[in-house]
Amino acid sequence: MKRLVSLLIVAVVGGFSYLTYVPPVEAEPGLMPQPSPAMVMACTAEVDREGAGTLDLASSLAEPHPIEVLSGGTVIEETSAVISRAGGGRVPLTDLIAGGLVGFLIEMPTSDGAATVVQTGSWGVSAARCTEPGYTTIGIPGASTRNLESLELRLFNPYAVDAVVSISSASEAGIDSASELASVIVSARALVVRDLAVLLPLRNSLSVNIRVDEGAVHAFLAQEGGGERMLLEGVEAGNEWWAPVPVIRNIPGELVLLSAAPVETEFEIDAATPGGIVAAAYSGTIPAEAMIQIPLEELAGVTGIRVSTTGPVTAALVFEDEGIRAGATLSPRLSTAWFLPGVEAAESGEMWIYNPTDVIAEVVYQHLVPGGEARLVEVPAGGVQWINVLGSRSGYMIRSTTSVVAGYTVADAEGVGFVMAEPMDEFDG
Amino acid sequence: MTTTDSAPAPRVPETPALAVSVAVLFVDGDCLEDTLSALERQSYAVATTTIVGGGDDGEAAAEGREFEHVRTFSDFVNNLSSDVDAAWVVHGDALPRPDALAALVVEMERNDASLLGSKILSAEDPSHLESVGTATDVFGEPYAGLDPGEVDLEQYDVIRDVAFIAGVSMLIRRDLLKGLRGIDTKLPPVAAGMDLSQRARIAGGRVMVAPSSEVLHARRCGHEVAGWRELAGRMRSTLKAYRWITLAWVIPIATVVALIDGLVRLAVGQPAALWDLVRAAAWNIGHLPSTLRARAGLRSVRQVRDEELFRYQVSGSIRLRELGTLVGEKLGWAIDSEPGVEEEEVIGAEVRRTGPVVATLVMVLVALAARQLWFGNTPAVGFTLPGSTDPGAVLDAYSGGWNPAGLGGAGALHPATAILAVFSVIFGSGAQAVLAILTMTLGVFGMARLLRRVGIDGASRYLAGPVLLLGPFAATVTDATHWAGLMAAGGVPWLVDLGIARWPGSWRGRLGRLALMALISAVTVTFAPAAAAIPVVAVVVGATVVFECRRWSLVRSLLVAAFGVLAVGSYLWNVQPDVLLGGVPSYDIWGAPLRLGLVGVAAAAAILTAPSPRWRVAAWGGMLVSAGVALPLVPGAGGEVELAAVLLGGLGSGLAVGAALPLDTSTKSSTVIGVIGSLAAVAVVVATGTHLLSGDAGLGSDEWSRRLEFVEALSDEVSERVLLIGMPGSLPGEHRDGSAYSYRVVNGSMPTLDQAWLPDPGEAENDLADTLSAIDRADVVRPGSMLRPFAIGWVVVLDEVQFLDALRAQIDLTDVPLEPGVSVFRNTATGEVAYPIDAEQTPDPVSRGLAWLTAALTALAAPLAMWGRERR
Repeated sequence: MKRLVSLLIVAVVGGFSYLTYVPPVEAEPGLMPQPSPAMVMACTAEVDREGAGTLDLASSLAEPHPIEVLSGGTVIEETSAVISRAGGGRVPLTDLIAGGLVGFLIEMPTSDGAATVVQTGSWGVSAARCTEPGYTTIGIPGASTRNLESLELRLFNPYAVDAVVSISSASEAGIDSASELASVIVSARALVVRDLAVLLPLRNSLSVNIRVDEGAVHAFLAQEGGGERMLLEGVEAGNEWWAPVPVIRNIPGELVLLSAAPVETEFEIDAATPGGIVAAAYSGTIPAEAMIQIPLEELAGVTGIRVSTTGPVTAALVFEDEGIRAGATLSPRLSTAWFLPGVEAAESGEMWIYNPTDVIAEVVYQHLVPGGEARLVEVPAGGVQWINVLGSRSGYMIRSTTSVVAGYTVADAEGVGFVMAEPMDEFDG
Repeated sequence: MTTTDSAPAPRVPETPALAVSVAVLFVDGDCLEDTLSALERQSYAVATTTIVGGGDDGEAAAEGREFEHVRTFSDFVNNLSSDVDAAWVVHGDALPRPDALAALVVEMERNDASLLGSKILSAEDPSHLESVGTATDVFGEPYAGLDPGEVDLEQYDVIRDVAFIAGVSMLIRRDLLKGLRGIDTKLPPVAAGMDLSQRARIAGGRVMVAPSSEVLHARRCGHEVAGWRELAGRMRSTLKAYRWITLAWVIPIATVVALIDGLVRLAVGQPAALWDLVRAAAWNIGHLPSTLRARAGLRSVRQVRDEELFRYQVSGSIRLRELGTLVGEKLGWAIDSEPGVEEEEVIGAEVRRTGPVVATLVMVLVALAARQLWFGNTPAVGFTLPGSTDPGAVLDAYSGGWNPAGLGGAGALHPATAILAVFSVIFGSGAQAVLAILTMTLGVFGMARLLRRVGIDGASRYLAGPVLLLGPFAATVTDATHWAGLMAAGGVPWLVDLGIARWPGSWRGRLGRLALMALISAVTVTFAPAAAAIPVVAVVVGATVVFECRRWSLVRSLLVAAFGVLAVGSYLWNVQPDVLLGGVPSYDIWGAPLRLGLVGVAAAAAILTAPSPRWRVAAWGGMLVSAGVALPLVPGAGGEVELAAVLLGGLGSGLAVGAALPLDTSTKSSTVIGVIGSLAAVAVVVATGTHLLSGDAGLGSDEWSRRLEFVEALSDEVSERVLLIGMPGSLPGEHRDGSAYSYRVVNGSMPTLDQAWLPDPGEAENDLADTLSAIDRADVVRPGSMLRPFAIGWVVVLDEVQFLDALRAQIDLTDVPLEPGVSVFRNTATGEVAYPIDAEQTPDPVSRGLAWLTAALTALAAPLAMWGRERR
């Protein structure tokens, strides 16, 4: 009997343990409180004696913003941009570098910041946003190597970790690339330049996808020829793009879409026209990793656009004519607040605000100078508002009662530059 | 083959070749008559017979037989006539066979020997050998090469050169004897024989033993001689014989060897050895002038170099060899025998024979399965980490000082780090190997001892050891890489055994038992603090099925538990309850369900079919296994309590399998259930061989021994921390959790055991958590400068965790490509360090006091336990 009782105890306790046992699970790492975010931006510029240029900044924090100037793998200058209490700052490029091609790294103590390089000279005006680091696939559509024009692909890695990128390109002929671009190591703290006019000459339209395999880079295309310069910033591919369509000296423009997807990608364009927003005004398919060009003439009277795609795509608006060349990659989102640094870095500036919603947007635009005047404009639903900001010598910030997208042009007698504004997280709508 | 005096008539040489005078060294009056009678029966005629010494007794004995008598041996030497060719020196307690001298003379002539000794047999039992020539080591330690009581089967009957011969019977040429100025009368018998032999050899003489000359020896000559006198005599002989250049290295080494010998013997309860050494040294210092004079006298006759002496010496140190044997015997006796345990009479002869064989095989199995641990290659992985290179700092930290683990803090260090530090002080980098050998040997013999205590004898009890150390529950511990838990397993059966063992009868025995309880409990519980409860739980469970109700077993178990609690008092004083009841590692108790199931089958079958006491022991083991798997289910019973439950289960599995194994007739069962149970038990034992290939006892392969070596090689600063980031399983020791990654900080180039357990997070840890979160969540450009206040010089990302993305776009953590799959970043930022590695902290006096008290008591317990053991 005692044997049976003993056996029963062993069986019951052991069996119960087995049946109710839960194997230990590695503790899931917990979630920590999110701190105040910060941001880093970078851009490039080629400084020479013929022209002038500025690095314009806008920020929600009136603190010094450290700037490192890198060239040849070393930091050649470390300084800080003073940001006024109103949120604007400007650093002449000649204060940073006497000449040559350099990269700038700007440490933003807040995620609400923006920077733009605007250069003027006999070539006209070139302007481009400074960008956040790209980690996945960076696209830059809308360049060209026709007429043996110079087209530099600038890969800037201002960080402490080497980056490895794979570059593919597409032209009007389809997928188009060079073996020299298959795998490029961008060493830490270095700026690597590839001359696409040599590698891929005589392309009417040339776009590049840069797949970041390791590390992080910033990519830009600098096109020069015919006495004109254009700087296009690379942005990470996405599925939705927004932009106001500026009127630049009545030059015909085109929308260039570059697919980063390995399969065909469908796209659809909603066009804002004087008659209102035309949904799906244009649609089609982009072959895998290829590009398409859509003349804006085909979107009659378009003043603002929204591009939506089924795969990762980058989009750019390019305006080109004799003596004038301007372009910018579009904004991946809407916001209720935007920074427009350097809008008046040249002789004149114009802000373009597109309201894709169905309500009127009350937009306040404010000088980023101490005591800067704030003015209110209304942007009709589905419409675009144009604001001339001649003579302010500073950047602007706009706030809207509804989500909008903004861009701006800077111009002088020689030319025009087109830049998309930078959305602010704090007021993200 | 020995002969007797009534044997065939002695052989008389046809032509006496040598004229021999006999010197009988007086020992005592009782023996002398027999010796003289034996001399008179010698077949070889001698010139004279002289009794040396003995005062009036000697003189009276000489007169009665018309022998000569002299007071000293020097007188005998001086009186030797030039007609005499050789002198036969015989002890007054010797009984030479009638042909003893004749044989010596024949062999001296035949071999041109200068000094010839006889084969010495015991007078009490002439079949037993006492000496057939003796070797020495270079330090003058004699080595007869005979086993105690070895029977004379003529196995050594070859005339040969030897290091020295016994002084009981020796034939020496007259001219040599005179040149050497006779025997050193300051020396006791054995030392005198060695001294004369060495001097004879130095003088160019040939020292040999002639086994055909047999002399029985009553061994009265040494009765009045203290042991230290022989030691002193050997020292003097060595000082006289060697040249200075030889003495220059022999004396220091011999001193060290003698000190080791004395100290170890002191530790094993033979304090006289050290005292003898001191007295012998003092005697030689006192007699140094006469020793130097004797050396000087030897100079004129020295013919050969010391190398001639070396030719007849054994290599190494005989003293150390004997010491090793002694320690081995003591260890074996101490761990596998116990008064009060059933004696071997109850065991069949067959079982008696197989027991030691199985024990040896089991030890070989365990040693092979844990060979990496035993031979100093303990893998560094998880919670199995090497000891600190600064054990003193660890002990200081344990006793209430600054805990350097992680970013440091005041939290208690795990006591396992303290015992490893203590062993590191003694054994250096071999500390973990020594502990592994010690605890695993304890585990094997502890299980055998416990099973024997509860009535399971024979070979099967040894097989329970591997089940404890390498079985399913041990696998649970090693899967969690918990080295300390594995070490604790070895002591667990002892905790229980000491609780249920019969209380010694004498006060000395009781004191010794208490000391043994304290010692074993301290060693075991420092590895697993909650294991202190195991003896109590085991005895309470066992009382239901195995034992009759023994109140004192419970009391003694409580005493064992109390000793354990006291041993980790410093730790318990500081530790937070949640550390004892929670934390990592966690044990996957049902991780090996098949092996656990086999244990269950073996236990169940034995309960149903085995005779008593086997079924009772199997039931006890089964219940402990059940307790081991059920206790962790109790809410809050994690951490150390969970480990104790696993160890309890391991003990139970060893008991159950030991009771179910079919290795003696009482276990064999003809029933189907019995056969199945036996097969299951065998399968459990066989499965313990899983780790034979790896030799890591299941702890896994090494990950950290060399991984961070670059820190030392590349760091400019001495005090830098390494931030390790990865998934929980890839980090050494405990970790903290971030968002989708885990991390921990390591000091220096090697995570050590004292860093395995992190103290409770303080301000520094919270700051680091916030900093890492900031780096992970935002695009921080200078994470290095944010980590610099924590003295973090390196960031190592082990896995493809999301955190790695946060380090792609930053500028002060430089990527250093060192190892595929691992991202290493050097922090190039400079700045103030807010949380240095070596922070100052005032020690907690209570912790310090408890730690020192524990150390003192444990240190006292070891010799006390040895001293107080009752011998059978």
